[in-house]
This record gives sequence, structure tokens and C-alpha cells, in this order.
Amino acid sequence: MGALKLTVLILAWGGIIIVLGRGFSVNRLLLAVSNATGFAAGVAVGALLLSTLQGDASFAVAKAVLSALFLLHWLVSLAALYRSTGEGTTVERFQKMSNNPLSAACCSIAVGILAGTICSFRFIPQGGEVPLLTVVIVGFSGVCLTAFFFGVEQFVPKMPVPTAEVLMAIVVSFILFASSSIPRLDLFSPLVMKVMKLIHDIVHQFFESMLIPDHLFFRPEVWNYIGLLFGNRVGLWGGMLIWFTPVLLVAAAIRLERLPSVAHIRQGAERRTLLKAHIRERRTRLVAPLIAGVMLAAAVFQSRFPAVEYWDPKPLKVAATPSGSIFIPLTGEIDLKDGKIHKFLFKERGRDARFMVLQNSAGGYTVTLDACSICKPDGYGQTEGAVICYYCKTLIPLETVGKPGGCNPVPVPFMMEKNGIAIDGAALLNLWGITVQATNRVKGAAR
Amino acid sequence: MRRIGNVFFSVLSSRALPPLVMVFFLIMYAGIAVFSDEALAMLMAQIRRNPFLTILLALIPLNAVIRLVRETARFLRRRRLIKTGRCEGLVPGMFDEMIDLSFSPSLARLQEQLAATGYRVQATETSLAAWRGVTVFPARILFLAGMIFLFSGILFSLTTRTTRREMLIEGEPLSWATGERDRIENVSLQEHAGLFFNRALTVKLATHDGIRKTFGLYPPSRYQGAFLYPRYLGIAPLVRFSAPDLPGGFETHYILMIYPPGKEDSADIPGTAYRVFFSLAPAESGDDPFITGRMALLFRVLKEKEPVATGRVLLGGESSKGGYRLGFPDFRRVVATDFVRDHGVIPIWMALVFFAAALLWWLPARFISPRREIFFVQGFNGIHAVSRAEGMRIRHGGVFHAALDSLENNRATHD
Repeated sequence: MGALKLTVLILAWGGIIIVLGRGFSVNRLLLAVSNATGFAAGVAVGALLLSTLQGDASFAVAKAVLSALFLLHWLVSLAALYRSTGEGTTVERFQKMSNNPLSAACCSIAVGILAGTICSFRFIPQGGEVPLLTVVIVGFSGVCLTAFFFGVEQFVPKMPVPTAEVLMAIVVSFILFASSSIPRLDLFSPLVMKVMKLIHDIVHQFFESMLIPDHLFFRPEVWNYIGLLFGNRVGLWGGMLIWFTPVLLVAAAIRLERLPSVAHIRQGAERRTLLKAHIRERRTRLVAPLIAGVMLAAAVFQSRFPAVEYWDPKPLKVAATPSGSIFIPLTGEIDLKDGKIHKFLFKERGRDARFMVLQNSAGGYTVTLDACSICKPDGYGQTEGAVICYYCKTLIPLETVGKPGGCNPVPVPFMMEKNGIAIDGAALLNLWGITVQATNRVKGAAR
Repeated sequence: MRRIGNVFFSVLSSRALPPLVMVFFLIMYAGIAVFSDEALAMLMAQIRRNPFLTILLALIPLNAVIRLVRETARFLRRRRLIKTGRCEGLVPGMFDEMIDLSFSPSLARLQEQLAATGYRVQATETSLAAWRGVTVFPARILFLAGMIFLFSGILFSLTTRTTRREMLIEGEPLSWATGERDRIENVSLQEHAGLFFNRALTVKLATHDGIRKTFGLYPPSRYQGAFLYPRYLGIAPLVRFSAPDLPGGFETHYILMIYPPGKEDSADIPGTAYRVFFSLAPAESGDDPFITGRMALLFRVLKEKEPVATGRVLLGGESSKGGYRLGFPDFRRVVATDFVRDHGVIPIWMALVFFAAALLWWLPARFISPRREIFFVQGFNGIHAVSRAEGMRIRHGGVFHAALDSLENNRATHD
């Protein structure tokens, strides 16, 4: 499993180096040094973030940078399509920038820093002192790999000079491919989650704004169709649409480029040859977005099927006392102090509720439903530093378990007693009922 | 100043403006979503409160208006040019390809050639126009009109919408917004085999001057300029309650939003430790009790969180257990209704109609028979040849180039 993750990172870094080597027509040594320096600096930055920022903050910073990069990729792709389909405009080539050593070095260093930071998040443990030896080993490995891939790059077939948006599309796709191998840096799952929420919000708001009555009055089959909009499949497909759109826009920008005017040429054969050459060149340039698309698809695959095993204990059946209280001892059949989630199942009069108890890093306890207020109650599994919602694959940092909102497990009120935790059974069943009803209901699902 | 004005107008009419504004709001939404679960509601509230955001959103319909005017003008100029056959109106950018021929050949033979390739041809003394296919221009106009209506509607809705919730209770006067005592006569729910809805809700209202009005579900009816938006159904029973420590009893009307069956609502008995939970019992026959009127209530009586009595009572009946007595001698149907003043509802629906019409026009026009035009016009120093295609560009380009070759060959033959 570890080797697989390593392969992903090596592949991504190799891909980035080869693409940059092909994209910039400047001195190879300059590019290699810039890339290696950037990578080493990135590893140092990552190590610093992990040791200085507490909790999920270091991952949040890295994810924010990745999100900004993805957004920039979106804007650049939009601009490319705008330019390409504009009237009387021509697509400017990347020629000037690719020949400029300063811009080439800056781009290489920036990309190196990003790649180095991602690698450091994979290898360097969070918190405590900076592990200097690990930092040096990871940084040195990156530098060696840079040299190796620059050697390999010479054997890669020549490609047409890419435009800025094409180069960006490939580099960003490799970066996202690398980051998706680390669940806490993965952007796709949170994107799916946000899309689900956005679609839900829009449909709900549309119903409210257009004064459309609630589901009580709808034919069930019509309501079931509307209900499709709230499933995770729509979130997944919507997320994929947003994920792949920049690359599709770049491809469309290439495909929709106007052919040059050949009306002034009076030799039919010459005209056809010229047009054919342009069409062929256009097709060749489509290979780059295709590669970017493949890498993004690989990132989606990693995100949907992460190579991580989750701690997911079988829920233990519990019963309520005559006063209606559920008591869970801190130690006994289950040790609540081990920092793992522990699941319980409470059944009463045909109603049931699944909940979990977790000791947080401060030593306190958190009781939550094994469900959130948005997704269907497929439950949670625990991985390093986070729990994952099985339905939408969103990672919830352990520090935030117990806080309400989003895809966080719904907090359950409880009383901390001397030797255990007491929960009101009826309140638990009601809370589960409301949550499950809300997530199975269509309109207003997250209310 | 004029230059600034030109730049301002260029920005306003740029086709990049709407996507940029939308991206801005999407980023805002994503930013708010990090901190709040109610991102869209918060974003709407921000747009409502912040004049900068309101103006920013207003740029989209404004841009659509300007583009609609400009694109219509350009279309009409091109049409006029082809119709009149005069070269004065010909400007670069009007067509995809434009070439000047330094000689003035006869266009007569070209007419036959173009007609043979399936183009309709119209010739004047100084020009030759050939075209085929259906233009997507109407779809474009419909689309832009849709954009204007949609974003104007959203803007109106965000800035002017007011909502007031009222309980419409059978037999009770409607107090909202009027000193005149209009009264709800009847509330009924029926089975209804509609395209979208399977129930029909009818609220009958008698106005103070004797006129009877009926309000349904959808499209929403209006009352004094406000749309009626029924939200929830419930009942208002007269509850008669007595307990061992409350022998004198207690009687009042409650409004309980307990539809559909199973939904629970509760009410406190004022001045006591009692709280009663109610829900509508599902009918054994499977019928909807709200429709049939044969309703039974399930109840739980709690005294300081301790259950002291539970049971099931038909509306109109009474239950008595262990000194606790609960009866419902009378009940009325209730509809929780929002009275909404919103000038954006109709424009938004109209926008959806425009978008649908635009799509219905665009799809066949663009993919089955796109508009292709060729135009030759006699200028001062020769012939101007222009070509334009909304689709099938390569094939159309071939026809245009063949026509130019033909003119060149004619000249060579004549020379």
C-alpha cells in the first residue's frame, strides 16, 4: 500500500518535470536546478507547516492553496475559450514566456514548492519537532528524481509548443493527482460534498422562490425524480463536471480555434494542404488536455477508492435503564479511552439509533450520531486523524467531531458521569429520527 | 472623458462580464460555505444588504440588454447589406472571411454554380447573395431575453420580497393587511390526478362585501397583491383537559401543525407542569384522514418530563385514564400560509420559457441546417467577397473558395 502511494507521488513529479521540460525552451540545467530547489524548499515548507500548525490547520492551508490553484486553472481555461471563440482574435502562443529564463525558473520553483509540500505531507508526521533526517531524505530524494526525470525527458517525443493554459492544465492535473493520494489533501471528495450542498440549496431555494408547494402535494413518482437531484450520484457527477470542465474548456478552446483564412490563395491544392496542416496541428495539441484529463480521472479514482483501511467497529447493542437513560461505562467490554470511535446501537419499540463515542485529544468525550444531517446515514469510519463519511467520502478531522454542521456527525447531548457516559434514550431516538427523516426527505433535506 | 466612457461601455457589453460576475458569486458562495451550512441563504442576504453586490448582480441583465441591442443591430445591418446589395455598410468583423478581388468579373455564372450546391441565390446588378440553412439568431435573442428576465427576476426577488406567515383557520377571519374582515369559509384537501400534484388544496374565502374567492395550490393565487403560498397543514382542535391535580380542567383552542400523520407537535397547559404531545393517527383504511375528515389524535401527556397518560382519541371524542381526561369536542382545519409579495416570480418563470424556446430553436438550427452565407458585392476597385457560417464551416469554406476559384478562372478565360 505504501509503495503504491510512493509510486503515485513519483509518477506525478516525473510527469511535472517532463511537461515543464517540454514546455519551456530554456536551458535544461536552469530548469532542473529550479525544479530541484523548489522541491527541496517545498519539503521544508511542508515540514514547517506540520510542526507549527496545530490540528487540521496545516492540511487546511495546503488545501486552500490547492483550491486556489484549481480556481486559477478554471479562470485561465475560461479565458482561453473566450479568446479562442472571440471574433477577430487569435490565440497567442506561449512562445514568449517559454523562452524567458526568468519566467521559466519562477514557474518551475513554484511548481516544485507545491510538489515538495505535498510529498512532505505524505512522509512527515504531524506535530512536534521537525524531523530533520526525514526532511533531508525526502528533499534529497526529490532532487535525485528531478535529475533522473530530466534524463528521461530527452527521450520523450517532441510536442507542439503548448499554450499557457495547456501547460497549466497538465501541471495542475499532476499536482491534483499527487494530492489525491493523501486523503486529507484530496480536493475531489469535498468538492462532491459542496456540489451536493449547492444543488440542494439551489433546488430548495428555487422551490421557495417560485412558491412551489412541498412534497406532500406532489405525485410520488414526480417527487422521486426531483429526489434524484439530492443523491450522492448527482453530487458525484456534478463534482466531476466541475473537476473536468477546465480541461474540457482547454480542449474546446483548441478545437474551436478558427482556421486561418485561405481565401486569398487561388490554388485549391495549396489551400487544402494549409488547412489540413492546421487541422492536424490542432488535433495534435488536443493530446495535452487528454493527458490532463487522464490524470484528473486517476485523481478521482484515488479519491473514490482510497487505499486506506478504516476502523469501523460493529455497533454494540445497548439498552436503556427504566428511567430511559443509556449508560456507557468508560472501561469494560469496550475501552472508550483508546482514542478510537466506538459505535453503539440502541433499539426501543421498533425504533433504533446508531451513535458513536470518541475520546478527543484533550481527554474529553464526544457523543455523536453515526450519521450527519446531510447525507444518508451510511455511517463513518476512522482513519489517521479523521473520520470519513461513507456516503459522500468527506473526511472530518477528529478535532471537529462533536461540532455541528456540514457533514460532521450530529452531536448528541450527554451527561458525563463518574464512570461513564449517560445519554437520554428518547432524545437519542428523536434526534436520529429527525436526522434520518431529514436526509431521506427530499426537499429541505438538510434542514 | 469620452475614452473612459468607451472603456466603461466596452466592459458593460463584454461577453466576459456575466461569467466573471457569476464566478465571483460562486467564489463567495464557496467562501461562505466553509463557515456556514446556510451558504446560499447567507449569500442572498449579503446581496440584499450590500449595494455593491446588488449592483454587481444587476450588471448581468444590463449586459444582456446591451448585447441584445448590439447583436440585433448587427444582424439587421447584415440583412440590410445583403438585401440592398450595396457595399457601403460592409465593415471588417461582420463576416468570418472577407477578401477583396481587384477585378470585376460577371457574377451570372456564379449564380448557377451556387444554386447547384443547394444555396438560395439572390442577385442584383451589383451584388450576389447566396445562403442556406436557418440562422440561430432568434435563439440567441430568446436566450438573451431569458438572461434579462432571469437575472432581473432574481434581483427583484432578492431586493423586494416580503413574506408574512398567517394561519388560515376555517371559520376565522383573515386579519392580514386589512381592516376589513374577510373570513376563511372552508379548507379542504382532495385527491387529484394532476400531472405533478396528486392532492388539491382549496381555501375558500368570503370577503367582507360578500364575494367568494377560491385559492388553490399552483399556480399561486393572489390576495391583495400578495401570492398565497400554502406551507403546512394542521388542525386547530378545542382541547379540554383535566388532571387529578387540575380538577377544574382547562379548555382552549390549539393550533397543531401535525400533518401528515406521524408528525408530532406539542402544547403546554399554561400555569401547570403539563405538556401534551399530539400527532395525527394514520387511518386503518389507508385513507388520508385530513381528506376524509375522520381524524384521530394520538397523545402523550407529560408532567415535568414524566409520561403520565397516553392514548388515542377521535376528534369529537374524549379519553379518560387514571384521573386524566382529554377531549377534543371540536376542530377546524388550518393551513399555515405565507403571503408573499415578490415581483421576481413571474419574470423567472418567463425566463425559463425563453430558455426552453431558445434551446428548441438552437438545437435543430445549429446541428441540422446551420446558416451559411456568401456575399459578393461590387466595390469601387473590384469585388468584395465575404463569407460567414454558423456551423459546417469547413464544408461552407470549400463552397466559398470554389466560388472564388471560379471567378478567377472566368477572368483568366476572358483575358
